[in-house]
Amino acid sequence: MKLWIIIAILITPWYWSLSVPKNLFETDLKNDIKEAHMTAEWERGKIPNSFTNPFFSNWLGKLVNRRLSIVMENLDIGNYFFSGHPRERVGVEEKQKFFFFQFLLLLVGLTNPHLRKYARFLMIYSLIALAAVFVFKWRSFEQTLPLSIPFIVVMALGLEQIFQRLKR
Amino acid sequence: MKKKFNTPALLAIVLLGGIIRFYHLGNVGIGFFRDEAAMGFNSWSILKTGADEFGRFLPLFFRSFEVFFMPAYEYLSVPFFMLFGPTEFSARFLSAFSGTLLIFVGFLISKELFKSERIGLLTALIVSLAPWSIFYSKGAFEGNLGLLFFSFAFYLWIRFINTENNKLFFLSLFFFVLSMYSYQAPRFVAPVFVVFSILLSGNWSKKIKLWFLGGLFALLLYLPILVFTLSPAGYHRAVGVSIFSGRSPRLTFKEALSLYLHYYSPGNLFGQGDYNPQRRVPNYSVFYLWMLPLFLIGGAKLLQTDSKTKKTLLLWLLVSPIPAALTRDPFHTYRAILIFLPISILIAIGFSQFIGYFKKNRVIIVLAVFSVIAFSTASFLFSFFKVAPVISWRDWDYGYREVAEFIRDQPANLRIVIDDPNTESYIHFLFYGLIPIEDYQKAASAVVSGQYYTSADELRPQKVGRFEFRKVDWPSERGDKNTIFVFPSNRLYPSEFTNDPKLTLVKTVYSPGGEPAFYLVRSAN
Repeated sequence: MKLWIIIAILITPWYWSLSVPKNLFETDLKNDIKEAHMTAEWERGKIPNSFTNPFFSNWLGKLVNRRLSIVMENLDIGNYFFSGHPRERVGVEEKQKFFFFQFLLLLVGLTNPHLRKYARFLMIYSLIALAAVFVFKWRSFEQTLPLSIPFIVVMALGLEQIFQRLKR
Repeated sequence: MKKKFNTPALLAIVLLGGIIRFYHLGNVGIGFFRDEAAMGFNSWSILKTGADEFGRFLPLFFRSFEVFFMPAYEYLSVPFFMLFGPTEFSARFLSAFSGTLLIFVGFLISKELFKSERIGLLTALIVSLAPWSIFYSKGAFEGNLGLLFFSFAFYLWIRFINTENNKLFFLSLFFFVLSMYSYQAPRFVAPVFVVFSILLSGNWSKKIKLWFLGGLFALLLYLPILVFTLSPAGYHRAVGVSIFSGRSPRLTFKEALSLYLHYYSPGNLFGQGDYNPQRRVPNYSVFYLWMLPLFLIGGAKLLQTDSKTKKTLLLWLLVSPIPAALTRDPFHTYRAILIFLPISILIAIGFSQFIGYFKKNRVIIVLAVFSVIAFSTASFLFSFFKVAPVISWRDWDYGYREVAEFIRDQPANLRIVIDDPNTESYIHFLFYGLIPIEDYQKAASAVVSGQYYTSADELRPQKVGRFEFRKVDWPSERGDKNTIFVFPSNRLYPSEFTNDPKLTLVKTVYSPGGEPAFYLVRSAN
């Protein structure tokens, strides 16, 4: 499995031209709270006054929603395998993270019976990585690299599956 | 779940869904979009004159702007216009009604698929409260009617598979064809679904005669539309938005696959939502975020389920985003509306599993879950009724009703010029009754003449009576006498008319957020 993991890493463009991110664990919560306050205030200034406004339009909600939207952005499959389209047309910059054929490797990896062995690790790691995305707002090509690990593991399983079939 | 509570629970869920859908239906505060006005006006016109805006007697497609709408929504809305008159409520009634009935149909489908009333009730609950279902039920969306017919056809289809009653087969085909008369997407999805469902059934070769008769029956029902398939009326919409124009096959395949996968992407389904602000409620996608884990659990459970009809649900899930994936827009929630019911069913399966995990303290867990549901629904409705109008009013053509009401009270000898480069705003003035139907029909039929179905060009009059719909050349026209110019606020700066003694700002229509939406400027006599 180690060999397949190394191969999966080597064929991944995400790892090729990588500069080490300096802002991986930086977060400016104070500024974020200030911005969330401003957004909520703007919204409340526009909508009709009601006793429900503080419940549904408040800084905490805005703060959480902003961060959740970044988490959700990282859950988009297009972010990883389909750089350049179609979201670039609507202003979302995307860079090639994996090759398209690696998507097929991923699908094959999901059918590997050994996946069960790694399921717990994949789940816990993914949750921790997504929690980090939530806290540190990882969006850029460099920052989101830790999210590649589960993909690499499943792709390695895909490679293993394919080569076992070929051996037979 | 105790069986004696199931019927009242279902009634309560449908009632709740109905109340949410019909509450403030005629005035949701965000505006009244031109497509809604077009479908609504054509229903009213059919009721009053038997013909559409072009004076075309009982058309098979409804032509408005350069769009050809499928006919079911317009014809089936006629009774509501008869009851409630030419109002926004009438135009949206059928969509809201379809959305309410869909809750019940969702229950029937899940109950039939999984033989579980609990999953049925949870499906009804999810459909009743899901953002996609509420959103598309609160506007005049023909796709919502198409989804209802398609879903009911699917229910009859799985009943047919389970009972082998041939009557259900023909009835199912009837509703599949009705869905094809309602919206563009089922024109592709319904036949593909039926053919593959038959092929996947395993024993398809034993019933060749039945399939042949069914095919003939469906073909006969669909024939009126089919004969126009090769004319612009039949294909213009599909070609106009497709990804195939002028691209290499390799790129097109990759893009189509990318677009297709967008419809299963958790980021889109539970987070970001539609890319077009007109089809998006701020901070919400088509499902609530808390539904994401239930979706994953439900998907895993479905794959483990051993049932005859499981394949049909998967087929529905896999086929329904194809038409949307072959168009250019990423995650177009309206074109992919057919996918949201099977996803809702997956969420309901996951929900049922989730409740099943807790053997102890189930009441507390259920109460906690329902508190989350209540809060998220209330929060969505808040965003829909209060925040969306502030943000998306321009995308929803807000303000034309107010403009029309003002102009109605003005002297009838005034010339009215609406600054509109797209020339599509005419439909609002027709809908609000400012232009007599017969006058417009006369002018429009002269322009379109024999090309109603055969040309997708812009064929409509820019002037009808005292109304003109076109781009205004302000420097040369500002001196025109006895005229009211209607400007969207993003088309003219106030400084262009404030200091001119020959011009008077007679009305400013404000958006829900308090910004100017329209300026109505009157020139001197």
